[in-house]
Amino acid sequence: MYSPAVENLITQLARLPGIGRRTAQRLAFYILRSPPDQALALADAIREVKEKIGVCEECFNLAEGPLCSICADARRDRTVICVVEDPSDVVAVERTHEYHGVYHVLGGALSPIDGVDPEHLRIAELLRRVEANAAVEVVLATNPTMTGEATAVYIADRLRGRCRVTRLASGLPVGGDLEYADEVTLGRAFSGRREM
Amino acid sequence: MGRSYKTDAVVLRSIRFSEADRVLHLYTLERGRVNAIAKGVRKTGSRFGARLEPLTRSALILHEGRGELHTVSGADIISSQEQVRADGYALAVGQIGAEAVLKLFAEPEPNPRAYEGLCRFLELLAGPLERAPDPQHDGLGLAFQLKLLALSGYLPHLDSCASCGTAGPLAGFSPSAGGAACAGCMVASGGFRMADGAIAAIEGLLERPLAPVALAPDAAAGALRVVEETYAHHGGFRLRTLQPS
Ligand SMILES: [Zn+2]
Ligand SMILES: [Zn+2]
Repeated sequence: MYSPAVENLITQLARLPGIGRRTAQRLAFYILRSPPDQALALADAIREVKEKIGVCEECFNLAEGPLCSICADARRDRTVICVVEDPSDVVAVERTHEYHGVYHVLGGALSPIDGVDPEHLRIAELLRRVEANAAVEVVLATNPTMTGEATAVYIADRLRGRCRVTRLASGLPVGGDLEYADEVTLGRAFSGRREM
Repeated sequence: MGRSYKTDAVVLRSIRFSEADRVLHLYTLERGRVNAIAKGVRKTGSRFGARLEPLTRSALILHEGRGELHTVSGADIISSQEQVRADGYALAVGQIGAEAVLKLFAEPEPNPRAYEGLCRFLELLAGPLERAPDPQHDGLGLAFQLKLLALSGYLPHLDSCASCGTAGPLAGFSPSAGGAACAGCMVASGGFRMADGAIAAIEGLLERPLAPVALAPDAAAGALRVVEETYAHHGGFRLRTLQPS
């Protein structure tokens, strides 16, 4: 129906998450109509990000160069390590401006039923870093899902007696109504209640 | 177009799907195995919250469209298994049980006894356990898998030689004959030797109601081997959760 080059562009765009074939066609025609420098800037940006962005040698966050911007920052406290599943979680925690330590990106969460075992995650690297940094605290910020909890429990067991291990509190989402909370979430909010 | 139905269901497995959604592998009372999409469940403010976490038993409202994937439109927790998810050992046993159900009951056909057994297994898992050195050798987990094998028609024949019928003595197990075997048949059919008392222990697990049970190390190893060999021989599969990591 389309020339091979247009067809190829549509196919590539349709691979992006949340983009169906119709949306891909609209985007392809938008790109065809846009000025050459604008369209090529998009192509260059994609090429650049794939060429320049790798993985931080320290924490496995995304990095331009050997270290990510957080590990390269001398003001960050290296004795506090926040453990997350994915690089996007680093961005989420950074947005709070509450945290001044460093991170450790595991690359997923334990799920034996899906074939994800401890050796598939960067857990051994975490244990080495805890020693090397003489860490005083490890904050477990894996997702509050079954796999995230299982991962937190597994790591906490391995770190017992080596440093302080904490877990992000879980409870009610801000802005929601109590009556819509499920009993697990509300139960955790109760057990984590604090003095006022 | 399509229609909604209510069912009691256990989430066996939950897989990330697109930015905000998950695909759930469910075992339901009404329909047996069903896959359903839970839209938006990955968002922090999702109305589903913890209601669709693996091993949770919920009353679900599912919408049946044209495809095989149903859509979750409502969920209420019947039992959350929150204690199980906080205990690495119990969670590992639970995942073994969940994978066994996934593999043995793969069809959208109701099996109320299997469903009841699964609910009972999860209930017991949340209570006090008789802990083995590792989750693979847990007595409750092995008993549950043996009962699932029986319900799916792979019940190992244990009270006499499954091959020649002799009453005994029984020396081991023959996966191809589907049960215990005398020394001669065991060798002839490529079976394996079992420790004294292991066959009786397996028989006990099958006969008694499901419960946490402490097994002698030999009996646990024998039961695990019987379960794994039966999966491989009759089902042609292995459980990922039974592979030591
Ligand atoms: Zn880094
Ligand atoms: Zn025989």
